[in-house]
Formats: sequence, C-alpha cells, structure tokens
Amino acid sequence: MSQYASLLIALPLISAFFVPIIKRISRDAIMPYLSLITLIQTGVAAWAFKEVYTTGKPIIIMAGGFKPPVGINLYIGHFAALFILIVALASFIMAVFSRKAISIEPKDKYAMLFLLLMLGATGMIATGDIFNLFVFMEITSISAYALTGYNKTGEASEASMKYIILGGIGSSFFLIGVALLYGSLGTLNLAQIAQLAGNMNATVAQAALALIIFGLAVEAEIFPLNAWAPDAYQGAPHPITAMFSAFVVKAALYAMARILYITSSASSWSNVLRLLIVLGTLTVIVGEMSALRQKNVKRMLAYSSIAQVGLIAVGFALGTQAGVNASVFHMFNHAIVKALLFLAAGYVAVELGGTELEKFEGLGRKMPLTAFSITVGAVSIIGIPLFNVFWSKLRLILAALSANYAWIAALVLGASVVEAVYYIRLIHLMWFKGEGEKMEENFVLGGIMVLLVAAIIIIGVYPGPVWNIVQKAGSDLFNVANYVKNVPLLGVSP
Amino acid sequence: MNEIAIMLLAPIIAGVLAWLLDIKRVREIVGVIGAAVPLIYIVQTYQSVFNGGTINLDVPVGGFTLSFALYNLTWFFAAIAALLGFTMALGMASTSKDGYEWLFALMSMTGVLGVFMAREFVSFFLFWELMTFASFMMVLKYNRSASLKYFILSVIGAYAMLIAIGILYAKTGSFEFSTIQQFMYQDATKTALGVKGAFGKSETILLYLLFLTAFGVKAGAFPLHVWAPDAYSETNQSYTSFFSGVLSKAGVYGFVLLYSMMGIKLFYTLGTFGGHSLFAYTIAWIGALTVVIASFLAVLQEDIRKLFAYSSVGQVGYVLLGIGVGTQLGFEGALFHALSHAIFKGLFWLVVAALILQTGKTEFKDFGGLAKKMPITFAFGLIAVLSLAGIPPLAGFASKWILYEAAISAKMPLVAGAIFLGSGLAFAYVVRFLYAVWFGQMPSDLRNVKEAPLPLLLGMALLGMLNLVFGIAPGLVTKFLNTIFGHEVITGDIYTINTGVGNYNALMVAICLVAGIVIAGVLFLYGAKTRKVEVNDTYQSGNPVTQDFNLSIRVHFYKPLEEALSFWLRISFDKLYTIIAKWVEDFAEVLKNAVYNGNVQSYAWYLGIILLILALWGW
Amino acid sequence: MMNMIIQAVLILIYATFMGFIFMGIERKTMARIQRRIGPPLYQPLLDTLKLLGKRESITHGFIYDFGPIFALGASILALMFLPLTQNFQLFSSSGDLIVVAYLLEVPMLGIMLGAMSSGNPYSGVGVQRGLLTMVAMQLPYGLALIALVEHYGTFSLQEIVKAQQIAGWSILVPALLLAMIVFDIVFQALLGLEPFDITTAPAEISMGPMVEYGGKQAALLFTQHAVQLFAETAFFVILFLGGANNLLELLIKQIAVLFIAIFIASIYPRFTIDQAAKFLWKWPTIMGIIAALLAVL
Repeated sequence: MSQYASLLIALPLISAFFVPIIKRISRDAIMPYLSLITLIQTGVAAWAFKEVYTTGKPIIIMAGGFKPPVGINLYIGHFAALFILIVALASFIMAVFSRKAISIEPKDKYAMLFLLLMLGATGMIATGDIFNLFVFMEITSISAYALTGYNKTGEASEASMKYIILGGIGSSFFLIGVALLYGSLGTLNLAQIAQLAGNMNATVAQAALALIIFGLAVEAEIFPLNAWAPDAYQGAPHPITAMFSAFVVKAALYAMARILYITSSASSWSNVLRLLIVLGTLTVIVGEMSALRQKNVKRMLAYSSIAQVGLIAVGFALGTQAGVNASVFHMFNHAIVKALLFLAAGYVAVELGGTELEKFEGLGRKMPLTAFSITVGAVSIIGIPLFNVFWSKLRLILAALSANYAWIAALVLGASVVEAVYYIRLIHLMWFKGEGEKMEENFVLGGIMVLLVAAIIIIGVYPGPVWNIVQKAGSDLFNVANYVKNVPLLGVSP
Repeated sequence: MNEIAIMLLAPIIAGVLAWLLDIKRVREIVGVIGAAVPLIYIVQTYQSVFNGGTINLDVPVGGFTLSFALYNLTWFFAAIAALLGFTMALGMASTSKDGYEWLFALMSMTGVLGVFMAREFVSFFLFWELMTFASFMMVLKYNRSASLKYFILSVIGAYAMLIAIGILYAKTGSFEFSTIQQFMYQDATKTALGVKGAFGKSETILLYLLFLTAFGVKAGAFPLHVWAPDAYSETNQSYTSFFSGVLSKAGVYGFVLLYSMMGIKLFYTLGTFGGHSLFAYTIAWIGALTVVIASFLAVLQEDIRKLFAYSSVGQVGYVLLGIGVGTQLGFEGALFHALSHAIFKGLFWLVVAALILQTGKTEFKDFGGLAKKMPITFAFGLIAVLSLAGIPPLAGFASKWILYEAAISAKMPLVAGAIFLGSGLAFAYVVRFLYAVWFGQMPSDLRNVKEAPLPLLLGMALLGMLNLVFGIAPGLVTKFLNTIFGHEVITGDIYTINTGVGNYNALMVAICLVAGIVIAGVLFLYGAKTRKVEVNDTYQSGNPVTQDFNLSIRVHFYKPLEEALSFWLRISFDKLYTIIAKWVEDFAEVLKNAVYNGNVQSYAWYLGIILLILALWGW
Repeated sequence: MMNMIIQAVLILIYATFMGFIFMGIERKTMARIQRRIGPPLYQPLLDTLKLLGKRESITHGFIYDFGPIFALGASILALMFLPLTQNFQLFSSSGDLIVVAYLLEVPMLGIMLGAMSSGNPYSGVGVQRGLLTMVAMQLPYGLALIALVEHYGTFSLQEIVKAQQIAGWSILVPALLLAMIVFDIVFQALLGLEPFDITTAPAEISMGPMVEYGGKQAALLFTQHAVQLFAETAFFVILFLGGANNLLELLIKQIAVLFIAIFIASIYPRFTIDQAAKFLWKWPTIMGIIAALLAVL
C-alpha cells in the first residue's frame, strides 16, 4: 500500500510528458490540467504524510524492487513527508496563480517545466541515494534555469544566464565530490554512507564533503554563492519566484543538512560546520542589508528570502538537535509566509503592472485584502508574536545560545532589526500614503491569501501541533542512527 | 475560568471585535467593556492579594509552558495597567476615529498585562514584543519616522533581552523566574566564597548591560530616551496616557525583576563604590541624569505634547532613581511614584487629548485663555499640575517625599540633589503649561471652543479623584506596598506615613491648608467688593491697549534658560542615533553594490574563493 | 487639640505682626544705609490696613482672586509646621524638613496663578523670571538641606533643634558652615532681595507678578509676604542657629539673619536671569556638593 507513495515521483514525471498531448487537445486546458495534477499530487502527499505520522515509520520505496545499496531507494521519513506535502501544496497554489499570472506563450512548455521543477524538488527530498540526489538536483536546476528566463525579457535572460553559469559550476563540483565519496566508500546509498563515513581517509573526507556542500550551497543560496538569486528571483515569473523561495531552496538546504548529518562521523566535520555557520550568518547580514534600500518590492522580498535561508542554514550548522528542530520549523513557517508574500506581490504586479515601490503606494485603499496579506506576511517575518515566525525565530536564537554561539545570535538579531526597518517602510507606504480607488480582487486568489493568513495566525497562536510534527521531522534529520536502522540495507560491503 | 486568563484575553478579544465591527457606537462600547474587565478583576482580587494570596496560571504552548502569577508585586503593576487602560478607553471613546486604533490600543493593554503577570521569560518576552508591536502600530498611523525610531530602539532592547534570556536558559536550563533566582543566589554565594560559579564576571556584566539596555529603552532612561518625545507626541493622545503611564512602567518592572533575580549576584560580582553597590548606584545615576536632562528639555519645549513627553521621561527617571537607591524604602518610593506618575500623567494626557480634540492645536502659541471655556478640564488640569509639581497634599508629593527620604537616608546626597532640581524644573514647566493654555488672552480662533465630551471627562474625573485620595491618604498605598516586603517598611496609619527618620501626616497638612485658605478667604471677604474687568484692561504704563494687542508671552517662554544652557543643548543623543542609522544604511548600500554587483564573472570568482577556503580549511 | 489650635492662632497673629515689623525693619535699614530717614517701622502695617480699607477693587476672574488667597493659605500652612520654640511646637510633628521646604515654595504657585490670570505682560515676564529663579536656586537649596539632613540623620525639625541644643549650633560643623553659606545665598532669592530680585524687579517691570493687584488683594499679598518672611527667617534659625527656647531669642536670631540679608541686598545690584542661573549653578552648587559630601563622610 505504501508503495503508492512512488506516485509522488511518477505522477509529475508522466504528467509532464503528457502536456504536449493535452496541448493538442485544447490550448486552454493546459493550465487547468496543471492545477489538477498538482491537486492530485497534494492529495497523495497528504496521504503519505498521514501514513508516516500515524504509524511513525518511514515509507521506503525500492526502485525496481532491488534492495539498497544495489538499488536506489526512496526514504520518505517524517521530514520528507512533511516537506513533500509543502512542495505539493505550494505547487498547487502557484499552479492556480499561474492561470492569472502567466500570459506569455508557450504555456505548454511552462506547464512542463513547472511539473519538472516540482518533481525535482520532491525527488531531492525523497531520495535515499546520493547520485539520485544529484539527478534530481539537476532536474530542478535545469527547470529553474529555463523558468527563470521564461518571461523573455532581457533582464530575465541575463538572470537565467547567471544562474546557469553559477549553478553549472556548483553542480560540477558536487559531482566531483560524489565521485570522491564513491571512490572512498564504494557506495552511493545515503544510509550506507552514514554507516561507513568514519572509515574515510581524512583528506578525502574533507575534500569530498567540501565539494558536495559547496555544490549544494550554490543552490541553497548561501553567501556569497547566492549572487544569482536576486536577479533570478526578480526576473522569473511570479509563481516561479514563489516556488523558488518556498521550496526549491529548501530542498537544497535539506539535502545539505542530510548529507552533513550523514557524514557526521567524518573527521573534518566540525570545521565544515563552523564554516557553514560563518557563511550562514554572513548570508543573513548581507541579505538584510541589501534589502534596505531596494526600490523594487520583489527584489526586496528576494533579499529577505535569502536572509531567512541563511538563518535556516545557521540553525542546521549548529550541530545540535535543538538547532535542527528550530531550522525545520523555520523552513516550514518561512515557506508559508514567503509563498503568501510572493503571491501577493505577484498579484499586485499582475493587476498594477509592476513591483516597484511606487506601485504599492496606497495599496491599502486599492486592494485591501492583498495589502492586508502583505502586512501579515511582513509583520510575521519580523518576528512579532501571535504570528508563526516568532516561534521559530525564538527557537533558533535559543538553540544558538545553548550552543555557545552568542555572537551569532547577536549578529542575526541585529540583521533582524534592519529587516524590521524596510518592512515597516513598506507597510507604512501601503496603508498611510497614496490614494486610490478600490479595485476588484480575484476571488480565488483572495481566498488562498486568506487561508494562508489564517494559517500564519493559527500557527502563531497555537504552535503546539506543528511543533510536535516539526520535532519529529527534526529528529529524522539529526538522528542518523535511526535513519540507518530504517533502511533495509543489503549489507553489501564496499 | 481563571482570572488571569480572562484579564489577559478580554482586552485583545474586545480589540479584535471592535476592529472587525467597525460601527461607530458599537466599537466604543465594546472597547470600553474590554478595558473595564481587567479593572473589575483587579478590584475583585485586591483583598486576597493583600492577605498574601496568589493566583496562578500555566499554559503549555508549542513546547514551552507559559506561566503567570498574580500576587502583591504583580498585582500592583497590573492594577496600574488596568486602571489606566480603562481611562484610556474612556478617552479614546471620544478621540478615536477608527477600529484600527482600538485594536492596537487594546492589544497593547493585553501585552502589558501579560508582561506584568508573567512568571517566566518566554511569556515575558512574548508579551513584551506584543506590547511593543501594538504601541508601535499606534504611532505608525501618525508619523513614520517617529514610529521607526521607537520600533528600532525598542526592538534592539528586546533582542538584547532575548540574548540575555538565551544565555540564562543555556546556563540554568530554565525560563522560570524562581528557578533562575535560586540559581543566581547559589552562584552568588559561590562568588562570595571565592569559588568559580557558573557565570563568570564578564558574563554577569554582559547580562547586566543587556538587561539594562532592554529595560532602559522601554522606561525611557537616558541616553535611550530619544524615541519617547516623538512617539508620545505622534499618536492619539488618549492612548499616550496609557503609553507613557503604563508601558514605561514595563521597563521599571523589568528593573525590579533584574534586582530580584540577579541583585545579589551583581552585588557580589560588581562590588561597591563609595559605600553603595555599584550596579544599583549606576541605575540611580541613570535615573538622576534622566530626571535632570529630561526636565530641562521639557522646560524648553514649544509644543504641548513634547513638553509632557519629556516630562514623562523625567518622571520615570525618578522611579529608576528610587530603584537605584536600593533600599526597601527606595523601592517603596519608586513603586509609589510609579503609581502617582501613572495617575497624574494619565490625567495630563487626557487633558491634552481634550485640548487637541476641541481646538485642534498643539503648540503653545496657538492657545490662551481657555479656563473660561473649558472649566472642568481646567480644574482637572490644575489637580494634575499640583500633583506633578509635588505640592502637598496630592499624590505626587507623597511619593516624592518618600523618594527624598530614601535617597538621603541611603547617603546618596547628589542623587537627592537631582530630585530637588527636577522638582523645580517640573514646577517651571507646569506653570508654563498653565499660563500658555489656560490664562491670558484668547486667540480669536478659539472663541467657539466647548467643554470636552463626557467620556473624556469621566476618565479625567476618575484619575483626578485618585490623585486626591492617594494624596490625602498615602497610607493606603504604603500599606499595600509593605506586603511586598513582608514587613512594615513605612509605618503609620492611612493618613500618616512614617519612614523612621521622617514623618508626614497628609491629613493634617490638608486640614491646615484648608484652614489657612479659610482664614485668608475671610480676610478677603472682609474687604471691599470687587468689580470685574476685562483681561485687556490692565496696567500698561500708559500705553493704550487694544483687543488684538498680544499681551501674553506664549513663545520661547523660557528663553533665558535656553541662553544659559546653550552650550549643553548642542549635545544631542537624538542626532547621534540618527547619524548612526544613516551610516548603517549607507554602509548597507555600499555593501550591496559591492557584493551583488550584477557581474557574473565576479560571482564566479566568489565561487572560486569559497572553494579555496573550503579546501584550505583543514590545513 | 484645642490647645494646639489656640497656640496656632496666637502664633499666627504674632507672626503676621512681626512679619510686618520685619518688612518695616527692611525699609528702615535700607533707608539708613542710603542716608535717608526712612518710614517708621510700622509703616507696612499701615499700608496694609489702608489697602484693606479701599472702597473698591478690580478683579480679573476667580483665579485672580484665588491666587493670593491660596498663597496666603500656603504661607500660613508653612508656618504651622515649624517648631518655633520649646513651647510653640505647633504641628511640626506632622511634617518634616522636606514638607516645610516644599511648603515654603507653594505660595509662589499661588502668586503665579494670580499673576497669570491678570493677563498683564509684565506679570507674564515676572512669572517667567520668578520660575527661572526658583529653578536656578533649587539645586544649591536642595544641596544645603541635604547636607544638613545627612549630618543629623533625621528629617524631623524637632530632632534637629534638639540635636543642636545638645551639640551646639549647626554652623559649628564645617560641612554645615558651608551649607549655611550656600543657604544664605539662596536665602536672598527666597526673600526676593537683591541680587536675586529679578522676579519683582522694581523700576524694570513694575512689580512683576503683582503689578495688577490693588486693594484687598494687594493687602493679602502684603500679609503673605509678612508671614512668609517670618517663616523663612524662622526656618533659617531652626536649621542653622540652634532654634530658640523662647520667642525673644527667636526674634533676636531672626533679626540677625534679616540684617545679614539686608546688608547683602543693599550692596549688590540685580542679576539678570541667565546670570543668576549661571552664578547659582557654579559656586554655590560646588560648595553645596562639597558640603553634602563632607556631611556624608
């Protein structure tokens, strides 16, 4: 029964290739088809989530029936179940949004790439094999490259080019790292790598780990490898930006965290952690600072997104269970909030023709629901209680302080102060400046925004259930011994 | 249901309701009821708390346990909050124009009640942030830069507190106040005996400075007070009565917590200076400086709101001073002054709200001669004036008296001198307020001004009455405060307070004052009858005077003082902070342009550099 | 209780009368220094009675009338809390040094209220100067009092007098001698004499706050000045000159204090406000700080 979870991979893949056929049938059916597929994906993901969390056991799917490490296996543990659900849900919302936001042809290619993007992210999270991870990462990246340039403007093409170059370099080095790892350990299966990691030659371990983390860091938007991100986020179509921020980068972060903790018995591990903490903190600081004087809201949100991602990276790099839990919680909250923010900002762009700051003046009067959603999103990112990010930020800071990184906490909080400044300016601009007539707001999109706002506030006031789930997901990542135990390794030695 | 839960939830639920149902009469009624509920419960629990009872509430939320407790110390502060919240709601019923303000005003009321009743740091921090956010939103509506200044400084303080909380949690493993207090006490004894405790000297000093920043910002202590004048001015004035009356007390409460949890440890770590424990002496001096500087600045203001804003900052300085004195007498004085400041400042701000509502003006030069037009408001304004200036037998004097006694008995003469100076300055600026607004000629555009609306008057009446009551019977307050310390720090009955070195019988003073006035009145009536004349019909050394001749000094009333202080006025922390903020922003822009310069080759270089670092890290 | 009230009334009448005599002494001494004859000693009393007997007086409103009444009431109140002599302790057990120090400043508020309501620009200027003078003198005034209290360890005036009876006058202690000098300087401002008489500044702003007052209100103000004079000189005596055992001793000491004040006043011209502020915040404050610190040690 649990094998049905393989639909999570199969469905988007097959559907993507079905798109040309749908296009043949009817041009207008493409977008509804997209929404339908993502809806089904969400359904399957929800079912898998329920399965994993009620039974407490991860779903292991062995491709071709071969047991790992001979075959490739999918490991849908607590973390994967949670995030695959988020990926699916975010994709569904963005698919619905795409109906309104995408007006440039060829829409069929868009739909295909959209599904492949979703597939890639899902695969990255669900896989149990490191080369499989690379494959899915490439699927994600290439779809992302293409989607970035979808708008066919000069800006978008340039952004796409930058992304290709940097992403390509990153992927190549990742591959070299995987090769080193394979050469040293003889296996590509994550669980077996975890078992055998301590046997690696110190230099090899260091080099392999460095290269792998490096490759993933480009995708995970860690400073200074995230230089492609602002341009890409701004140039890409609005739903795609939301997807980038909500789960593409999270998938890469997850992969980084997973590999980090898998190889925790390697000798240079603490060095890598320390470097990651430094880079993560710098990501936060530079990200927030860069957002300060932005004149384009979408770019501002992009920088803010980068900064939050840095925060998540810091949490993972602390090396404690508390840090991992906090990061996972923040990933969850951030996904919701950023999806909302980019959705709202994109909607404003669609209705008012752009995302410059001036377009947002008086939004409170023109599009009150949208403005309200942006306000809620902004207020929650700042970390105000009664909204969800407060809890995850609190946990992160406490984790950092418990791990004796007081100065990290101080720097991060300092960056948060900066964050408050520009978000407040935006809120002020929307509600207390400018004039405007009330416009008609799309019912469906409005409904989605209200639901997301409700989610933010409900989690903010009552974080208990989500926190429980997140804790389980966090221990899934952190508790490597458990991971190894759950995978039915064949016991083939290198 | 638990009293604490009701007290916390009622205001915010009422606020949300008022915001959602944006109907004119309904939202006012909902708001006032929401604000009245905590007050009702405060009154209800007075007796049991006075006898030493405690009410507890524990709520598990998201992996943390939020706990609250209502006992004498927290009840006192919560009472101030509830009282002023209610009068604020009454004031806002007249001055507030939309549901937005009700939502955030009541949200901040919940926030501050939560802060006062919290028993561990997670709820403390949560409600602190909530309170800051809500009050910030109240200011945002009126002025962006004032609100930004407020928010940034508050958030810096709040984050400093968060770091301190995290450090405490990391070392002690708990958020509970009682646990941390125990731990600190044991740690202190270890330090006293020379054994290394869990907290080293630099860590303790770091914690001290972090908490000082956090609570100092909220209380408006020098030099972190720069947000206060702008924030207090640029918001709904009825809300300012709550803002300056209660939210600053959250900072004060924080200081009290600092004392109760870390006092002994700080004493042993930081040692003494000239016979006083250093950490307390620092707080006392911060308080004294705040009093002097803020009061001087208040004297020189031209705008009513700014004058009272600076005055508020100065008065809270008194409270800090009392806490800094460190003795139990000092604490009682500080807490009493917290109460009297809340009631007279609250009254003042309601009066200002009435003035602005009825006349629409905010600067002194536009006012004049309103005593005839708004007599009831004037009467309450006069009571507030007398209380602030510290004239016996009103509440302001009783608390100031205790502070004097405390400071001088604790052998801190210079600090007490600051109190004297502050009182003189307070006298000066309240008289300025009286003169410019209520007396003298009336400008022509104020001829149709009417008395303030009823809800405002009700709020003013409540506070004015309390000023008189606590002034004539200060023993009521000191009796309650004594229960916090468990024994009689200040003895005497309801009308007399006796600190052991001094005695003040408020009732006797009141009676003698009345007797004196009666005697004078008799003398007056004995004289000839009087004939009323116009304001303009006055001695002019022979110059003819017409109606539009300006006979009142309303602008630069204290210009000579400005001249005398011209050197000192050039130093301004406000400008310093603005300059720092600008530097940070410029730096941010430079940083962004340097890093994200759009050039993909440089991006590729970044990759190369990181790879190099990763490669070299091990060696 | 009845006893106290009778005492209070008697002292009040005595104080008022002596206050007028002090005002007369002031004028007579000034005149003699300036080589004039000067009016008789009881001239102020005659002036006040004349003012009271005027047929009509003007008023600018309720506060205008209430101001002088309040001021006189407050002066009487201040007087009631001074332990004048062994027999006339009055209500001093109900209020201590701080209370009295504040109460001596309250009449200023009453006068200011009245002055403000009169609407005269001269009174406005007078109010401004009066308040600034008060602000300026608060610091040295406070420091002197603090030094005193630190030394004796008690706020109660009765205790201070008793301590002086045993140990000798306050000025025998060096710290308190400094304090007395500071207090004496401030005393000039309290009494409204040169060099700190900028408040009334006769011949400059025509009597300052009181310019508009005539008739019975002026009479009240004169009476208030008399009572205030008596109270303040008595305060000085109690604090620094060992109090008094009977009214005669009190009188002699008060006149001594008064003479010093008059002599200083006759020599010096008027300070302007910013000069006064700068002066008071320099040397007297420094001396006050030294006195306070010495007293603490």
